Amino acid sequence: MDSSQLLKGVLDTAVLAVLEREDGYGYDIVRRLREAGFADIGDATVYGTLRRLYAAGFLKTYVVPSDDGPHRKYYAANVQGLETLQAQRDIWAEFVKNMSQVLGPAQTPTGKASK
Amino acid sequence: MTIVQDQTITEFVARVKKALVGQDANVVADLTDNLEADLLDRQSAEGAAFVLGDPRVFAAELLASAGLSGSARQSGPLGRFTRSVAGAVWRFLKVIRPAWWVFRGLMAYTLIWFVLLHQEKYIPDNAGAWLALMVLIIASVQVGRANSRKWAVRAPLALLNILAILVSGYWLVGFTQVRDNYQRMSALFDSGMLLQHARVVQYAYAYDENGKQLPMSTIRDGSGNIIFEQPSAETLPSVLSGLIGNSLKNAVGVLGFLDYQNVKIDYQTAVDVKPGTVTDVRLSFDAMDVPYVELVVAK
Repeated sequence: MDSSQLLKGVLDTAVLAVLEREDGYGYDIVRRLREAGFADIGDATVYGTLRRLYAAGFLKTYVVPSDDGPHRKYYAANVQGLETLQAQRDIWAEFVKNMSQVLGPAQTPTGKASK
Repeated sequence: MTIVQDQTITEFVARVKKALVGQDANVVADLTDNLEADLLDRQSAEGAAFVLGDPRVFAAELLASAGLSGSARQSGPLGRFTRSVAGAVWRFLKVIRPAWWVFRGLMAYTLIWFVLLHQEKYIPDNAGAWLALMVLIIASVQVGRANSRKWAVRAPLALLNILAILVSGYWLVGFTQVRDNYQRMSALFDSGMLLQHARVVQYAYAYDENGKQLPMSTIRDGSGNIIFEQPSAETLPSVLSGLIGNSLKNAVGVLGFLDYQNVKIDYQTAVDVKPGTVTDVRLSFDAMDVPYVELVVAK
């Protein structure tokens, strides 16, 4: 199974979770997602997602001056974003529980798990 | 403040923006405002492993993940091939631009000297004309080299370029005339017929010193070779008998080349012959004893 396909379905949640811990700018968020294990995630995918979450009203932005380049646009999760994240956490927990059950060891006719 | 810049990244971002043409300006700004700084960060973090990829693919990924309708300007292999060929042609045209500048100067000369002043010679034939040609060519080259971006310059220049292309038609007409004359002269020389002032001697008369016409059937050169044979209904020049079987159009063309001004066409019914085909050629003489060619054509 290609994990990148799975990630597409939960990328919004992953980005909100990253921003819940600490505000960040574009590449900073990409880097933190990669460090979290999503090594193949494309930066364009993250930038597009940030723009979509912002347009949906889940993020706020502010500009931080930089000494060695253009000013940085930082993203932060707003209240609506954090509420959405919490709701998605619940959905995710339920989803993982169900999937774990489905993916658990196959049952024998006697009810014992097979080796 | 020191601004860090990388030409490759700057160009990449410009291409991404170009691929997003058609999208709302605010959307493009949202998606690309910090892109250059982000890519510089990534370059710094990845070092030698840093790769930018295809800007059109990048733009398409931006749009897709942003959930925006429309697409970045991408294309299949045919589109890429077409763009590649168009790019090569454009680069070639840019390389030969100086030749166009010189040509434009020559056309400006042609417009002034030939079209407006009604001079007959295409090529300058005096010092003043040469000087005018040189000045116009240098002016055209200098304007081309200046490569001004101002519309006040570019608009009239575009008009002049169009005018230059139109004026080049005069040169084409001139070249066509030269080619036609060359073909005509070739045909005349190849015909083996007696020429005088580049025209075929179709009929010759001999007179004595008293102005009395003498019978004459042939003219021979010093070696006794026949260089002219008085045509008659019986002794048809071979070039004329060769017209039999040709189309009327071709026959008339050949006769035109050979300066046969007097041609009569006689349409006759013919069996198993394509209409318009020359079936017979005769040399006849009118009441003034002037020869004319009579083409018998199948109808």
